[in-house]
Amino acid sequence: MGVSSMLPSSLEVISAEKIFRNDVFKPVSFGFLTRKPDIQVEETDIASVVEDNIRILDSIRLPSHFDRETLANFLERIIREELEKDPLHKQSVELNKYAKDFRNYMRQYFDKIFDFHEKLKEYMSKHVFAASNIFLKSNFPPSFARTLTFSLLTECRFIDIYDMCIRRERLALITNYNDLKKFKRLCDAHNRWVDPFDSAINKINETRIGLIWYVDFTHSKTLEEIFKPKAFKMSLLDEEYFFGMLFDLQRQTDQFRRALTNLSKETFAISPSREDPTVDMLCSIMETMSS
Amino acid sequence: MPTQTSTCFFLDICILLPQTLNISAKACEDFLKKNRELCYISSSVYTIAFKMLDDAFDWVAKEIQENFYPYLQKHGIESLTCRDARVFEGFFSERRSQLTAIKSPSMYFEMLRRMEHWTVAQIHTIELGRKINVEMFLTALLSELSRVYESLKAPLDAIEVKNITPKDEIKSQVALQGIRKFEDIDHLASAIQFQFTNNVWVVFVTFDEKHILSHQRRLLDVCALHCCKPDYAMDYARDVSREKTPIQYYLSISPKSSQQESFAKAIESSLHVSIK
Repeated sequence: MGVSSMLPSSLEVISAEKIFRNDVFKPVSFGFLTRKPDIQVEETDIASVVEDNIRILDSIRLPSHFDRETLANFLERIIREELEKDPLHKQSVELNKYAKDFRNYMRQYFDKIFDFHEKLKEYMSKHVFAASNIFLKSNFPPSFARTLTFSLLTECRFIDIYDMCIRRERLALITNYNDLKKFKRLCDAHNRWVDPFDSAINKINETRIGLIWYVDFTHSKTLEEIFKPKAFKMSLLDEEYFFGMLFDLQRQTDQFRRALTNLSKETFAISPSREDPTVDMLCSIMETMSS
Repeated sequence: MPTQTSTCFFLDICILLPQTLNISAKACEDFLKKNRELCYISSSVYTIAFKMLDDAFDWVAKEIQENFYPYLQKHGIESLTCRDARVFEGFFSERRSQLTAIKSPSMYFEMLRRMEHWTVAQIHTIELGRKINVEMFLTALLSELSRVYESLKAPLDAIEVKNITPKDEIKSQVALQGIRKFEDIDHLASAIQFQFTNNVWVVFVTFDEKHILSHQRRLLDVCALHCCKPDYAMDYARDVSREKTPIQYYLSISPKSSQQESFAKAIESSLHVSIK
């Protein structure tokens, strides 16, 4: 790894631009439907994502010069526009529908889920980049960049662990495909472990996006300035509120990570090598600081 | 709490961080691979390790945000190629000259030197002919830093943490054996406390020759705590598992030296465990 590998392939996301909840990590629970799902993106799919985002908006403090309803309408418009052209969202909807009728669409689900997760991780690394960029152009404390990026990278780790787990489950599911009782039991077991993680990730997402929105909206005088590159100043923020959100995110991420460690200790046990120049630099600085 | 064996390992911070020498890295890897389930870290090790990592991340991130970015802006540098490493030379030499105002700057000189080496190595990784906007380059540096921060935290998460508040009496006993660093006193006292509270042997695993292993003999004689490098940890565990439990072992020492008497008294008064 090196600095070049951290540069996004497209220059689209370099600020807070387009950071909103797009619900791409939904297809994790397996279900059973009686009717075949329509895998096209429907109005209800987009409406439910918009609703999730409006809920985040409702949970954060807004600067006095913005009216909540105007902001909600503005967000709804841009989120709709983005979702309609977002291939990741389309794939997510498709996979979500396969997952809902898992017995009929198991093959399609497994054919596409791993590739989807690779793209999802790429998308999240753009968010790591965006969070780092906000920090660079601000006078925020380093804990801002550290906490935000750590929560994103922990989510990436979850995706890896999820993939590892379903690769293991796949064999049992295929073997028991014709035994409906056993197949259903396997799906139930999968849902039992995955559902708490899914809801924890949703909370982390909401807190992180809420924090970025609070920072961005407070630094925007008009609607047009929202999600546009800008310099960020700590003095414009309510410090108590800002740090409250930051600590909340840190606490949620730590809690999530602890649960994740119990699920897969071996994934966490891998120590990075000092041959990586960034690892070597950070370890050397730690050693120097503690000597 | 160990059930099938009477021995467990308490790890020092250095065991959980990537090693400079390949041979040490291999020793750690082998040891952890075979014994992960028997390894613990005390809450003091956990807290200090995370703080060290946070502090190192924060220092580099702040250096980029507060000094590096404004320097490049001030000098009107908008983009960088793999041939622009000398821009960094100017920045780091300016930073070093600012450090002379600090009372004991040697630590910062070393940290800056490490950071300089890293940033220059990073600029050399840019593909030939590619021009990168300064803001993008620095953002990529920060993202890379975050990636490594997360990967360094992972091995710490993989080891079970034992919440121990070491008693002052035990800490004093550790200090009396020649341990000088406050953090090391906490780590070793936690291991001793766990050993006598649970009556299981603890082997404290570390690479720290200077501050801990040089006092290995006295820590064993007086505090009955085995300390060793990961290379020997399994041998130590095998040997102590043949012995009596720690409490019985200490009770059987006769006659006790004055230092051992004093240690036994400290354990009795702080943990209410009689080993006299």
